[in-house]
Amino acid sequence: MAAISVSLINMKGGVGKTTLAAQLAHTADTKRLRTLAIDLDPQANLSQALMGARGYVEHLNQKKPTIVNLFEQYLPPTISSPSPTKCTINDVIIKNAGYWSNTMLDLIPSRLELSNTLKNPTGKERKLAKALTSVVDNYDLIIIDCAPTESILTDAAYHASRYALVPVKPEFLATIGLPLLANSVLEFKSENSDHALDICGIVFNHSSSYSDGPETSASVREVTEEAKKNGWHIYDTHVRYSRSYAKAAREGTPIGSTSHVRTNVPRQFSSFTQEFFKSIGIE
Amino acid sequence: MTSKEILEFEVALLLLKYGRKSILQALAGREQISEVEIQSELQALTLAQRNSKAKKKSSPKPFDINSIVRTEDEKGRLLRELNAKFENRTFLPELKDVKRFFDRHGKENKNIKSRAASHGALFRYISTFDVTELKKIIATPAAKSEFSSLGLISDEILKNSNLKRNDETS
Repeated sequence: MAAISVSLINMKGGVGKTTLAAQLAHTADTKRLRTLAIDLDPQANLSQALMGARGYVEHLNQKKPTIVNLFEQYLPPTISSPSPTKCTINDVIIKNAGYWSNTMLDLIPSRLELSNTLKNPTGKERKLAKALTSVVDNYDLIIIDCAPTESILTDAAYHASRYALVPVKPEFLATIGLPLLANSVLEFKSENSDHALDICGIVFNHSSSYSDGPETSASVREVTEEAKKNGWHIYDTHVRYSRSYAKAAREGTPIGSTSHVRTNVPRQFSSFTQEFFKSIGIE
Repeated sequence: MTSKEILEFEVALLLLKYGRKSILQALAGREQISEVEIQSELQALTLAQRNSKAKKKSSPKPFDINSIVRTEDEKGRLLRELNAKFENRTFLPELKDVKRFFDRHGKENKNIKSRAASHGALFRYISTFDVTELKKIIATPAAKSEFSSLGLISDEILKNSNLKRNDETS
């Protein structure tokens, strides 16, 4: 069966898209799902979180290909290969990039130069989707981490995705991104009526560690109303803030293997992942 | 000869010459205690000696890679190389690294109390790996905590910006 492709999207930055993408990728790997994580953000935080800072910088220094080459469709000349060569998706996939020794998690890393794609976007929005067609049978799940602003990269993610997962931080300014996203998805669907793109759900991410105060409750209420209006599902589990998520990104670990993590944090994340996998048809 | 050895020699000589019973009787008379008390003191002494020997046995010996590597084939050579790296702290330099190594391989790591104490268990486990896996581990650069992650990425980004600026000005 071909992979199920999910993009993590929100037009607002700082809502925890990358953290969630990295942890979902680790969880899928732990569940022995063949997983491909795609970093579609020029800031390349997902690449750094999965490869570690050293591994990532070494990858760049060795001039190994990234998603930039996939959009540009060629590999530049090098000392060993003195002319430009065609770039296929297999050239940019880093195999076995996960935490576990028997990992089945692969990664397409990003780099800062991906932002240049935005300067010359013509005809690039379907390149990722087209390239993925040759590898979708090799995976069970594809997770795409998107940049927070709407651009050709968001379109590329939509074209490559069956579902969009929307992390929302329950704070007033952070919830403003939601109507923007609704508009963006509706526009995409009207322009691509043959494409089944659904929002699999909204997850309240980075909500307060312990209990919800009045501001959080108000934001949750507003988002719930907005979701109801658009027919979007909201996951029951809130992924609450824990410093361990930041530490997990530094250590390149699944949340449960992060140093000194409190037991309730991986337990709560596991509760969310169960809901998430069920919502996209993976039990 | 130490005083303890001289004492042991003289006691052995007396036992040979007069027998155990006569020696104990003479000792009981001299110290004005019963033979039974002497016997029980001897038993307690023997038990204490046994316990101390057992304790000495249980204290961990430093791990010797030769105890698991007896061949000079490629696998043996890789295991020795990895062991040397472990000893000079370029492989799994800290306890947390050892714990993470076990965790990544799905092995229990809660009972590991120190890096040194994990040496034997670690290499007994690693010795089950095949040559390809061993080569992969050796090729993996050691995490060096003296380099900051931010510094590495920042240098990379600034290096690119400098190259761009130089291109623009030239």
